[in-house]
Amino acid sequence: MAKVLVVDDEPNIVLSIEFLMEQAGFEVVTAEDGEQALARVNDSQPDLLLLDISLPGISGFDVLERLRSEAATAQLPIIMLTAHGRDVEREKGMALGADDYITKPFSTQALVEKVKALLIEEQP
Amino acid sequence: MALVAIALLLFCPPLIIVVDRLPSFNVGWLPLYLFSAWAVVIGLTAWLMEHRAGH
Amino acid sequence: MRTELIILGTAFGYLALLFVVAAWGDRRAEQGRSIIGSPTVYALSIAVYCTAWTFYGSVGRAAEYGPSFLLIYLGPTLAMLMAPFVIRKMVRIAARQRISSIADFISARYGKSTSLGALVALMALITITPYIALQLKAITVSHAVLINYPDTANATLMDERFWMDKSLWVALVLAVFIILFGTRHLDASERHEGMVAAIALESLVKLVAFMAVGVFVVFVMFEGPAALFAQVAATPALVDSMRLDNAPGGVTGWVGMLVLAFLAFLTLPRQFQVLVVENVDEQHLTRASWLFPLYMLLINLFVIPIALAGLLLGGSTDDPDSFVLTLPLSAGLEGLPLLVFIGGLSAATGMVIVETIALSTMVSNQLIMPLLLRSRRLHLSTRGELAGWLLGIRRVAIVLILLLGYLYHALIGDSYSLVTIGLVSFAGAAQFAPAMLIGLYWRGATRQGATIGLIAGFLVWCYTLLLPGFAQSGWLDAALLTEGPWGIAWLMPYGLFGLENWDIYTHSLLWSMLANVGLLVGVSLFTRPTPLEQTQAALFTEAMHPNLQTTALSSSLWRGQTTQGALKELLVRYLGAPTTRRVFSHSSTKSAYAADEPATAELITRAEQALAGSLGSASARVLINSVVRGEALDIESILSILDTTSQTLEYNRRLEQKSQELVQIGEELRSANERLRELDRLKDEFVAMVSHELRTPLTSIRAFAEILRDSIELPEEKRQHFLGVIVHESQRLSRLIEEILDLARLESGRLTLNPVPLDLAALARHSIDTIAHLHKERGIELDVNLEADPAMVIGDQDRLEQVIINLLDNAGKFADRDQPKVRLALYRHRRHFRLSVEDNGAGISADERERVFEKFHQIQQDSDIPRGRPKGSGLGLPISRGIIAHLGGRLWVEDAKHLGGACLTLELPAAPDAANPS
Repeated sequence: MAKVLVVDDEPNIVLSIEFLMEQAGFEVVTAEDGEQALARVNDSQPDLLLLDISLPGISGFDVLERLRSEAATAQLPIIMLTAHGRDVEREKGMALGADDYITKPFSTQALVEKVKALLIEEQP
Repeated sequence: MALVAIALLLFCPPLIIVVDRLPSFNVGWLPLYLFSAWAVVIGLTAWLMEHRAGH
Repeated sequence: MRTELIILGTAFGYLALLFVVAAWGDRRAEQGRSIIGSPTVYALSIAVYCTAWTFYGSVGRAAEYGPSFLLIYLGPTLAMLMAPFVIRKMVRIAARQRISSIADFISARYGKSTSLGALVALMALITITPYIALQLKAITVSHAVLINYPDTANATLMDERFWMDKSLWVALVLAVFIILFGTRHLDASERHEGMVAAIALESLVKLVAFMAVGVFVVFVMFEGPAALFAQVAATPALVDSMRLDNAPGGVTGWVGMLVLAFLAFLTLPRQFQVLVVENVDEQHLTRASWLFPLYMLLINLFVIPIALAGLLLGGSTDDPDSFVLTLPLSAGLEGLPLLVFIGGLSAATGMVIVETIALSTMVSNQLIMPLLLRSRRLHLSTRGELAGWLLGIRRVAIVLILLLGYLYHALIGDSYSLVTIGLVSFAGAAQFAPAMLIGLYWRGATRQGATIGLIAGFLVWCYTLLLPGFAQSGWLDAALLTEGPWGIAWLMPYGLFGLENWDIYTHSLLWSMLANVGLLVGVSLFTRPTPLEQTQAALFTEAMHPNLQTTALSSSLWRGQTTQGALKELLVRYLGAPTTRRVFSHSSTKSAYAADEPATAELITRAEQALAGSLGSASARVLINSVVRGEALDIESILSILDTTSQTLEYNRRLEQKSQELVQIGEELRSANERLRELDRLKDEFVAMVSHELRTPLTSIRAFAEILRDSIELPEEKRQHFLGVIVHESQRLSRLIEEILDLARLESGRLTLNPVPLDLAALARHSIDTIAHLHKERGIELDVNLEADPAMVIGDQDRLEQVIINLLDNAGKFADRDQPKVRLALYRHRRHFRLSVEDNGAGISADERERVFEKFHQIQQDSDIPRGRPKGSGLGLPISRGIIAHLGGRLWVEDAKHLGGACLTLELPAAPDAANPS
């Protein structure tokens, strides 16, 4: 079963996404901030990362950068969650190596589809 | 320089009158005085001018 | 041996020598190796001051009047002493303005006035002609003495027909000489080098001759000065002859003579000519200023001895003027008297040459030229060069002047002694002095003043010296002198207004100067100079100003317009082609001559200068004016150029000021720009933050809503949970929106408050109740301390409650995790009530104390404390502060005194009624 890491500082959002992922048949691990997220990646080896950009402390972008700079996680599928509607954010994320993005508030259907798409790619 | 010239200027007329009052001998002091004063003035001027030209 | 032939031969031989020297001088000049580049030559040329009068007349005057003759030489000495100042200034101006004569000088100073120039020229002619006659007479007399000795000269003199009068022939020869060497070129800026060389030679000859006879008399005829003086002492009649008493007019006469000689030295046309016009180098003045006085000293050294000797030996039969001749003659010498004669000839011819040149220049430039210019016929008919005309005019003038001099001598001269004529001329020439000297230093002297002063002085001079002269020679009624005109004693020519028994020259000088200077100053004060006059006045008085050294001034003197072609035509007509070429080629513009191009100001100025050199400033101006359209630079500009220093400073100061202002403005603009950008950025940020904050709860709401919609089978508890979240987040969202709206209203000043008197204590209690359950949830221990009860303030109930709840809520959030404690206190502070809320949390660091009031600011907390903290919107404090501010109070952060964490205090002014402390 694929493992998905959900990183967001809003507990309720984490809760909702957690439910969605589990319903879609994935295993879920969560993190509240950037530090935790990196720790989780190390010890849980998720197959996909759902990463909120606006995190306290280390920002989502920093996490993304760091992950991409390491060989182990360079190819890890990452989907950015962003509340800002601005193009700059999206572009920056894509430039840093994110595979996809989704804006809050999101459509649950869309979210699940994006996750599935990336995971299927991974595992043909 | 200007001061000197003016000093010389003043020197001539009044002093001449004063000197003439001096008691005379034979021919009188006056001509002698005049000439010598004149010579002195010329000499001073010459010295000043040449000195200045030497700057 | 003293035959006519030898004498004549020597005389004309000597004149021939002069020709040779002059020719040589001119040739050298053309070759570029000028003789008169030497200051010594310059000094010697000035010695033309010593004319035949010096030669013969000094002795005569000494014999009669004692040492007073020396004054005539002491005066010039003084003048030369002032050379570095006065004369140098004159020389500089003359060089710059191409002055050709004293008439030109005066005319130029007073606005290039034609009338003034003509007046001066006329006056000069009248005053100097007798002087020229004097010289000719001296030649005649000395010649007669030489021939007739030991008989008196009178024999010969009586018999003379005019064609036998030697002086006539001398005059004619001189005319030829002058024409040859004095009118070679028209341009006065080209020196008459040959002539000056000849003059210098003559001065040398004079000196040598005189000293020779002096030495002879003193050391040969007597055995040295001691012996001579001893003899004099032995003769009672002569003992007092050298006292001051002998001088006419006593002390005043002494001073008067000094002043007269001083002034005349500067204004005699021949002196002006050699001193100023012929000067090639300003530096020569320094040498000349003592060399020339020295010359005078030397030549006068033997005058007194000769006079005394003559008196001792000759008795009254001999004319003292001729002592220099008769003494050696009486000793039986032949050669020495001849030498003396040549010396005298030298002195006389020197004077005549220079004076005639000066006078002819004046006449042609100031009298004839203006008349010609006015005659239209001349303009149209001459297509060629007027240069030739001008030279011709000058030559004719020379001949006429000499003839005039001769006539005067032939007809009138007899009745005068040499000295008298000389001094009369001096006094006449001195009339120029006020206009010239005062004009040199006082910018306010105007043309009208100068003209009237000049005329007045001249008239007084005529009346006090000239007329009496005529009376004395029998042309007028002698009673004029003794009784005054029509018997009015007060108006006696020799004793105006009762000043009788004065030396006549001093007397005349006094009155004429009084009239001259008085009217000059007086009229000048009441008249206005024309712009051109002002310009010229400035140029003259400030001639030594360093700023005028640059040619920049001269090139900017003209503002008018004319084409190069017109200018060239003008110059060719009046100056001739070669000079015109020179003028054009010297122009600094490298471009070739183009007839239709406008002439530069510099070119115009050069052209004017060139014309002035030949025609005089007045005529030059007229000519240039006829061609140029426009005005010459006005006084303001000249003064401004002169005042450049102060003006530059002023400009600099103003520039500094302006640039500083500009810098300031630039700064202000920059900071304003910055602020705008800042605000823009803040706005963007705010919008971004708001959108972020709003989207966050929305995300949960939508997500859970979709989940609930899409999930068919859902455990009830989960369903309840999710629905609860939706509700919760919706509330959160609406709260947020409220806050944002509040903030927006606060910022735009549209917050509606309902200020009513209320009890803060009661409100506090109420708020506590409201938040009580939340605190209980969190397990917060609340300590309430209401010192002031009631606490009446003016406020909006709902809003105030909102603030207090916000404070309590915050305190609760940030209180210590394990044992959260919050303390609320309400107390009075002077005329305010203060409500403080403390917590025992980590506190707020000093630099964050203000930042907590920023929008969306979230207080940084240690990240290793496990999370779960309830998050605020970050807007509570800003809104609270805004509300309190609106109510006239303050909200700030302090250190918590009791609990050790943060303390937020609000202060509100007490309601007026509650002013009484409880």
